[in-house]
Amino acid sequence: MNVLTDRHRERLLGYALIAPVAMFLGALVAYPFLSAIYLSLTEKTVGYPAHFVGLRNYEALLESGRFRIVAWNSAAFTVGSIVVKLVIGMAMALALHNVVRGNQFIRGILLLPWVIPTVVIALTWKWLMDLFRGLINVALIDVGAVRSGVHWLGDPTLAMASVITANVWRGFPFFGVSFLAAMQTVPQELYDAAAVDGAGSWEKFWRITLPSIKGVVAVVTLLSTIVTLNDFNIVYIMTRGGPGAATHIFATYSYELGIMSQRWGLAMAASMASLPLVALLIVAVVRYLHREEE
Amino acid sequence: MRGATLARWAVLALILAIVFVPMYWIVATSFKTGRQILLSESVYVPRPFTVDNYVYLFEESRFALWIRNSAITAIASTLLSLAIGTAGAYSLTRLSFPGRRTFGAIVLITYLVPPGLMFIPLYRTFIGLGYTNSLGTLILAYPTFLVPFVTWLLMGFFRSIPRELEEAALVDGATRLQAMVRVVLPLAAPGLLAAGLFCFTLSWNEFLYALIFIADDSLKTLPVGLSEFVVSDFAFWGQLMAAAALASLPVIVVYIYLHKYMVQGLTAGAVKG
Amino acid sequence: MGTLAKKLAVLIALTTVLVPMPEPPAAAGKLSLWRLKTYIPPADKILDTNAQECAKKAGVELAIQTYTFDDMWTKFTAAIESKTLPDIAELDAVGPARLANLGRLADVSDVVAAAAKELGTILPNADGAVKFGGKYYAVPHYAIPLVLFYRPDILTKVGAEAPDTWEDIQKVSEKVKKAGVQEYPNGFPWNRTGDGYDPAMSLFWSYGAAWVDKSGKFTGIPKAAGVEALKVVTRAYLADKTSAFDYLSWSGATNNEAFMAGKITFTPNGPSILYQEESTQHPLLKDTAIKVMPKGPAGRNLALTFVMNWAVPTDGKSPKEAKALIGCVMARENFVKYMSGSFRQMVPLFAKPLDDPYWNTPGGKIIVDTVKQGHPVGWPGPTTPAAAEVVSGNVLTDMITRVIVDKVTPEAAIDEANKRIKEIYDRLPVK
Repeated sequence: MNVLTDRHRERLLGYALIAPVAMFLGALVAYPFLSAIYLSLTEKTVGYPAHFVGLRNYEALLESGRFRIVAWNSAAFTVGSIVVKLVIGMAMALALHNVVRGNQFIRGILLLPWVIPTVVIALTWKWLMDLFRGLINVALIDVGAVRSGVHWLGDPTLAMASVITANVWRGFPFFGVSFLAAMQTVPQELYDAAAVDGAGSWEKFWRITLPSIKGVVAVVTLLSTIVTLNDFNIVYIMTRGGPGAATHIFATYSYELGIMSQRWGLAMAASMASLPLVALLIVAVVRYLHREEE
Repeated sequence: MRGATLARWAVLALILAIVFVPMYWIVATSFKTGRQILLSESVYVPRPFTVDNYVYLFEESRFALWIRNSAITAIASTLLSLAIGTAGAYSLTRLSFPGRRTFGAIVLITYLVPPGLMFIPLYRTFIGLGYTNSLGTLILAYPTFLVPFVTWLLMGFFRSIPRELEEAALVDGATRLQAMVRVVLPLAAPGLLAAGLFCFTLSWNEFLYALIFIADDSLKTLPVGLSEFVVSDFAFWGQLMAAAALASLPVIVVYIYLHKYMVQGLTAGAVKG
Repeated sequence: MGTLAKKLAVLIALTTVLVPMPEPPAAAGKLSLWRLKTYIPPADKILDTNAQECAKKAGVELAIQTYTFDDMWTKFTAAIESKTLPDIAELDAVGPARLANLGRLADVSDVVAAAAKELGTILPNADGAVKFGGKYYAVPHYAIPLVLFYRPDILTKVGAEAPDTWEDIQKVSEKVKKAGVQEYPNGFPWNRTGDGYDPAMSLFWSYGAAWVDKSGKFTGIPKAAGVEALKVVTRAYLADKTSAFDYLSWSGATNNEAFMAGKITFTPNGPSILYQEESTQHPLLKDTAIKVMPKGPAGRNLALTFVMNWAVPTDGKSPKEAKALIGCVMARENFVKYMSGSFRQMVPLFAKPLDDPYWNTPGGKIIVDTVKQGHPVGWPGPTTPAAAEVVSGNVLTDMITRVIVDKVTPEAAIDEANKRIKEIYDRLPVK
C-alpha cells in the first residue's frame, strides 16, 4: 500500500515538474510548429492564401539539382563543424581540468568567441579571410609564405572550410565548458582508485572520464548539430552562399526562397527536409541514453 | 607527469592563440580611424591610436540603451528558461511516469524548427495575445528555443550524477523535492552555469525575433543596433568593432564572477560524494 | 547557493520592474513610417527632421522606424502576413509591384500629381516600378544608380581608353594583368547582392537578351544573344583569370573596399565609393573616375534597381494623413534640402531637381544620366511580382556562376535559367 502511494506521489511530482515545460511549449511552440508543417504542404506566397498541394513542394525540391547541392553543402557544413568542435572542445576541457592556477582567467579568455555577437564574428572572419585586405593573407605575404593571397572565400572547397572555421571558432567554447563541467561531476575517488591500479592519464581518460561524461557529450553534440544546421549568419555574411552555390546551405536557401522570393510554402518544405534525419538522430540519442540508464 | 603538464600547456597555448587572433583584430580595429581601415594603414597595430569610435557609440548612437535592453531581455529569459528547464529535466531523468520518454523526444523535436521560419506564426501568436513591441515579448519568445535546450542539456548532467547520493538523502527522510534542491542541484551547478551561459549568449545574440517583434526604436536590442553599422554598400568597421568589444566586456565579467559558484558547487559535491 | 538564490531573486524583481509594458495601440492622429537606413547618416537626419516638421504642422504624431537594406524583406514579410504594415512605407524597386498586386497599397496618383507640381514631371522610366493599370501606387523618392568605377591612372599606364563596351572591359583587364599592375583587375562580382544582379541585367539587356516582351509576358532569354553575353563575362574568370573567384562571394561592401585598396581597376557600384573617398580624404580620390555602365551589341540598356518609393499600405488607418505627409516630404523646399545633403548619392526621379546646379559636376552629370536612362526590373515590360522573383531568386547571377563555378556550358545554363523563369511566370501571372 505504502509502495503504491510512493509511486503515485512520484508520478504526480513528475507531471507537476514537467507541466511548465508542456504549457510553455504548448502555448508558444505548438501552433507555429504545426503551422510550419502545414504550410510546407501548401503553395503559399507571402500575402496570398495557402493552397494545399500535398507533397508537391517536397517532390519539386527532390527533383531540383540546386536543392541537392544545398543538402550536400548543409551536411558537409554541419558534420565538419561538429567534428572539429568536438575535438577542440575536448582538448580544451582536458587541458583545463584540474588546473588551478590561472584557470579562471584562461576560461574567461576562451569564452570570448562565445559572447561576441555572431554578426561581428562573421564580419570579422570575412575580413580576416579577404583576398586582398585580410590579415591572414597580408601576414602570409609579409612573412613570405605565399606570393599572392590564398583564395579563402573564392575557391569552392576552401570556401566551405572557411565558413566551417568561423562556425567552429564561435562554437567550440560551449563544447569545452560543458565537457569541463561534466568532468567536474566525476568523483575523484574513481581516479584515485585507477591510480592505485597504475593507470596512466590516457587510460584514465578512456576508462573513467569519457564513460562518465558520454551522456553530456551525446547531448551537447545533438544540440549543437541542430543549431549548426540552422546557422544562417555566418554563411550569409561571409559568402552569401557563394562562390556560385558552393556554400549555399538550408538556412541561406530557405531565406532566398521564403523571404527574398516570398515563396513561403516551398521555403518551409526546404527547411523541413532536414527534419526527418535529425529526428532520427534524436530518437537514437534518446534510446542510447535510456539504455545507459537501465 | 611532467610531459603531461607540458602537453596540457601546449594545447592551451594553441587554443588561446586561435582565439586571440580574431579577438585582437576586433579590438585593434576599434582603435583605428576610418581612413586607417580603408587604406589598410598600420594593419597590425593602430598608429595613431584613436578612441573616437567609442566616443561615437555614446554620443551619436544609442549604444547604452541597446545594452540595457539586451541585458534585461537576456537575463530575464535565461532565468525563466532555467527555472522551467531544470524542473522539466529533473522530472524527465529522475522520476518515472508513463509517457516520459515520448515527452523527452517531443521537447527536443520542437527545438528543430528553424527560427527563420517560426517567426511569422510566433509573431501572429503574439499579435493575437495583444502583446508585441515590448521587451516582455522577447522574454517570452526566447524560451521557445531555450527551454528545450536547457531541458536537454541538464538531463545530460542529471544523468551523470550518481543516483546513490539522492537515495541516501531519501533514506535520511528528505522528500523528493528536498533531495533535488539540496543534493542534485548543487552537484549540477556547473551544468546549470553552462546552460545558463548558453541561454544568455543565445538571447544576447538573437536577431530575428528582436527585429520583427520590436518596432519601437527605444526598445532595440544590441544585435539589431549593431546591424545598423552595416548598411548595404558600407560597413562602419571602427564603430562596429568598438561596440562588439564593449558589449562583450560585461558578459566576461559576469562569467568570471559566476565562476566562483561553479567551484562552490564542486566542493559541495566533494564533501558529500 | 543561498546568496546566489537571493541575488537571482533581486535580479528577477529588478527585471520585472524595468520591463516596460506594451504601449496602447496607435490611435488616430498617430502615424508610423518605415524608412531605409542609408549609408549617409546626415541625409537620414535631414529626412527625419523634414518628416517630423511635416507631422507637427499637420498635428499628428509620427513614429519613424528604420530598416537596413538586407532586412527589408524580412521585416515586410512578417508585416504582410500579420497585416501590420505601417501607415507610410518606403519600398524598394520591387516592393510597389508586389504589394499593389496583393491589393495592399492605396492609389497615390493624387500625391504623384501634387509632387509633379512641385518638382516637375516624373521621369517616364520611373513609371514602370510604381504605375500599374494607369494608377500610381507609390511616389518615387530617389534612386541610387549603379555606375562603372574605374582607374584612369592605370588605364594611362597600360595605354588604354576608358572602356565603353563589355568587351572593352574584358580586354583592358587583360592588358592590366599582363602589365603586372594588378593580378585581378576586373571587379565585376556575380554575387547575391545588388552589385551582382543589377549589372547582370544591364549585361543581358545590352546583348538583347531580355526574358519578357513589352507587355511583360514571358518569352525566354534568346539563346544566341544570351550565350554571347555569358561568354564575355565568364571569360574573365575562366580563361583570362582577370577576376578572382573570391569576387563571387563578395558582399555589397567588399568591392568598395577592394577598389579603395587599389586592388581592382573596374567595379560596378553606386556612387558610394566617391562619398567614402571624399569623407576620408582618400589618396585614390584623384585617380577614381566613373562612367555610365557599358553597352553591348543591342545598345546601352541600363538597369535601375536601387529605387526607393513612398507608399501608403492599406493596413493603416489614416491614409489621408499618410498621403499628406508624403506630399509634404516631397514638397520642393524639403526635397531639395534632403537631396542637397545627400553628397550626390540620392538622385531624384522628378525633372526639376535634376536640373539643379547641384548636379553640375563631371560625376553628377554621369549619375543623373544613368538615372534618366535606367530601366525598371522586368524591362522591357513593367515591374511585376514575377520579374521581382527573377531578381530575388538570383536567376541571372546563378546562370553566370553555373558556368564559372560548376563548369556548365553557357547553352545549358541558359536552358536552366529559362526553365526557372518560365516556372516563375507560370506561377505568378500578370494581373
